[in-house]
Amino acid sequence: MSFARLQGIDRSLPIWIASALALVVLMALPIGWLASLSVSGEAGPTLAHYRRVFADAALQRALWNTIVLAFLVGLASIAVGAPLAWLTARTDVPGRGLIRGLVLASFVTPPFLGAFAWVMLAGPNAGLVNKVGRSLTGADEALFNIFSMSGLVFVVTLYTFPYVYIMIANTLALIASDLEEAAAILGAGRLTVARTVTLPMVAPALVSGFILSVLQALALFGSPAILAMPAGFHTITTQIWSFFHFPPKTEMAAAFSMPLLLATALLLLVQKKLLGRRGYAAVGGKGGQRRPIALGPWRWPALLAVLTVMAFAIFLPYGILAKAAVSRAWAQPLSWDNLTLANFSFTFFEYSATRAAIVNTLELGVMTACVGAGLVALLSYVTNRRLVVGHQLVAFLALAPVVIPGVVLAVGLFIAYTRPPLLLYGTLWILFIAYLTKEMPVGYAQSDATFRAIPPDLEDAGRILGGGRLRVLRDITAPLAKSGVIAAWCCIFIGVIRELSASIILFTPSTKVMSVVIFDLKEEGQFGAIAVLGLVMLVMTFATVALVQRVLGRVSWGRGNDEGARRARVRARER
Amino acid sequence: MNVIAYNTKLVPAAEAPKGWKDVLDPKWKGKLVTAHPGYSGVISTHVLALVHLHGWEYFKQLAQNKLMLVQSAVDPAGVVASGERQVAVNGGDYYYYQMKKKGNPIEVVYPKEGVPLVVSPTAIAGFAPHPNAAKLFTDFTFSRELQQVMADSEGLYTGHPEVKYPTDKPKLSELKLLTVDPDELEKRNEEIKNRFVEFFGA
Repeated sequence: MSFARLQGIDRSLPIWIASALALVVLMALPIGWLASLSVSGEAGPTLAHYRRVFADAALQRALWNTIVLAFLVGLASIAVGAPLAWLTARTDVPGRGLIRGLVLASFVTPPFLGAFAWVMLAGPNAGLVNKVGRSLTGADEALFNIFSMSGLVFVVTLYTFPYVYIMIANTLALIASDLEEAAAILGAGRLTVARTVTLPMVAPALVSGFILSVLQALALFGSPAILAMPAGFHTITTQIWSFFHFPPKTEMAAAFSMPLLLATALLLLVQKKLLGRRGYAAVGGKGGQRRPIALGPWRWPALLAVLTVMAFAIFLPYGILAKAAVSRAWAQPLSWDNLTLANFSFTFFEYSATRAAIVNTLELGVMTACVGAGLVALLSYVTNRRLVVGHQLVAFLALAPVVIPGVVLAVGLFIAYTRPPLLLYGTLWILFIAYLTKEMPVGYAQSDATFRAIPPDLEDAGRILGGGRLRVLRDITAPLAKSGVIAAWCCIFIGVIRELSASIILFTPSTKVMSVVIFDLKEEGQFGAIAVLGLVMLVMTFATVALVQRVLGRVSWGRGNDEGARRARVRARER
Repeated sequence: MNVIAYNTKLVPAAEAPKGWKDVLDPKWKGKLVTAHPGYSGVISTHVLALVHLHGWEYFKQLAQNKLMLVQSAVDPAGVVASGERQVAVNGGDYYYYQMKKKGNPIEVVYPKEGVPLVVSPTAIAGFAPHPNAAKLFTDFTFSRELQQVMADSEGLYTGHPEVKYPTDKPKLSELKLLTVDPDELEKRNEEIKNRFVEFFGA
């Protein structure tokens, strides 16, 4: 290591510095503009925008709604995600592989597609579930009104609980059963073991999962736009979006972005503090045995409960989307009269925006993924090998965009790039920058794990034998890191093709992307076309997921044995 | 122009609202949908015209019926067609007509008290790179042939006196048109949005 540091100054140094600088520009420019515009008045700095924002009763309601939504989604995600994780990680519930696959499917499903599907399922009058409910009970009232706060929490939770699931499943997979068994041998009942041994050990993961879910719910735009606005209430994100309608109030949008930005930053800080306290020594190795708990007669009821959740998250929504795609009228039963391929021809040939949007989405997806995967590979290499002074800062900056919700980032970029010297508004470049910034943390985390697992001694050996840093990088590091980099590419690609919350503010008629077109189609009530485009998006997503799994050779999902850990073990055995 | 529309499968023609005030009846509670003046110039025109006609009191009462809120003027058509709501209290007549022609169970009501007219103007940018081509194109769009296309395929009413309309649409001369002064609309835009939000929630 020290050898590498001594050799640190060579031809490659400018590359490292340039990529670190790029990060500063991507992050600092939009957020700087955002902050400065939020306090700028015609006669110098002012707090007038903040005063207006926080004094407005309608905006206060939006703020409150967002808090309620985020908190309830956090709790509900724990309630769903934690038991699911325990079942798959610790018990002999049947179909554990299937369950893991379904949770992954829910994780990659664009939440706004889920929201559209649930409008068709549980709209109070035309929704399928309510129609069936009415015909069964004969009541006039709807069983469930999806256009409500509880409806919104329900739908958002369906696509957010996987965050809790991953955290808990990974932690449970690392905790050996020995401790629990020791407690049991000492006479503790099952509940006491769960309460006094298991729960404290997964507590940090629970809190992290809660915070991640809250962050998701805070930043979401599509689902509240689809489910809350029809019910007559806003969240912060939809309110910011409405500031951009004629006449645009950018200063208000900037000022209203700040609470969202601060809340996100604060929550992440709490999470870091909680995880930073390493008082959980049992979580840290994979030495002990993990023996699944026999559920006995509860095996099948448990599976049924899991499948019910999955029916809400996957089977029903995907089913209704598929039905809407081949129906003339989505609210009518699927009869021969109602069956049609017209939605497909309308979507691809008649609706003028679609094909350009698919091309834009693919272009942006591939471009962002390539540049992003390259950049995060460089950055994580720099930070893992400690190649530049201040490498901790580089790591911090790469992860920092996590605190910027998509809508807020878009407001910042809109302000920064609608003025000289960089007039990027109206081009695909502004979307590219938005996506690159937004996906950076995900890509970096993935890439960081990859490089962490490649010990520097191989590279050092190469350097000792006379190879330059670039040659060592090409011949030794690159082949080892290849699959990890491809995985990062795919993560970024999936994130980009479903992106809505930043795109909805940054698009112009010639730079529409698929998610924006889907949102436009809503305004025309074209649910058939929404379903068709949504299915295209899902096919693209699942094809990419399949690619990741092929490349990594297995599902690194909720088993706690991610690729990095596996390689570290392989290497340890070889030694 | 802005009209009322209803789902013919769910509402018999005899029970359908005939005028703007008919939708204030509590029997429509939870069964109405409206577009939003905050997202649509067509709808802010509509709101101002009805404020002139019936005052803000009209919207205050309307809000008691717990309307579903959508954004653009074409948005309510899909909601009514699917049956999610039975009646739309505003929205562009041309789009309802298009949806009806596609086989959706929609009927349009032109209230006798008057229908708010929204004019779609055309302009040439002052710095247009090819101003003469733009003038030619503008002349072309206002020719009888093209205005006829607008009427036939888009379901629009046009200002051209020689255009013929489908027989299942009322004649332009039979309709009482409500117009609003663009300057007043611009000045009161903020007030319209804010009061609407105050009554309808968002």
